[in-house]
Amino acid sequence: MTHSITNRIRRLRFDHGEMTQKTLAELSSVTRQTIIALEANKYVPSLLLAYRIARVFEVSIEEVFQFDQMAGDSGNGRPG
Amino acid sequence: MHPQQRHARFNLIVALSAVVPAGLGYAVLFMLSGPKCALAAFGFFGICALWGFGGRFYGKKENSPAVTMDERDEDIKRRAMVIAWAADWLYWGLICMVPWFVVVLRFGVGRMHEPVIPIFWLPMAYMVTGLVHTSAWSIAVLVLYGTGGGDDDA
Repeated sequence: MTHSITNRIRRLRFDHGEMTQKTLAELSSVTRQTIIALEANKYVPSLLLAYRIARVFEVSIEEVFQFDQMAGDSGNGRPG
Repeated sequence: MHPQQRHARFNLIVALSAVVPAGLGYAVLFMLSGPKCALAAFGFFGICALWGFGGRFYGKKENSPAVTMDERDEDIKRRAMVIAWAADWLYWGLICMVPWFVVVLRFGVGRMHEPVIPIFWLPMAYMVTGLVHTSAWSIAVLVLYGTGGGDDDA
């Protein structure tokens, strides 16, 4: 079964007064490189970091991160 | 570029600065003076002592207000260390098993206790472990950061 976590960080940054990656990094206590990796979907954050980022944007965690099932997935995860 | 990437790049440059002249020096001295004198070329491995400055140059700055190591950096550091230890195991497996295979194939199982390895090679093998470990860690760090950790602006 293959899954991926996507996010709307870039969209939310622009919705919040075109917040820079540097500002978001400082507010969520990470490096700017990590924000870059997150926006490129190259890194899946810990639950703690996910909450911190959601808190910066004052939205729920589901509004920032989405859990996606990839094409070809059977869906229920059960054999047969 | 993250300080950890700079540290890895520094380690690789130092490793190359030691391995290349050591290899070339060994080859030249081997041809000119024979195998015993050629061992002197391994003195170039002393350049690797410069690794000791890496932590000083690229380590955490005490008065720096910005976050320099977050969870992703720690994760990369941990995974690179696992890869480095795996490289150590592979290296030791190879240096222990390859000579044994060569001896068995050349002399046969019945005489495999007869050939000896100069004791000089033991500290050399140990020092090369450091080279393998640091190089594997550095390459792993650079690969794990990949291009996603670049400086594209936003």
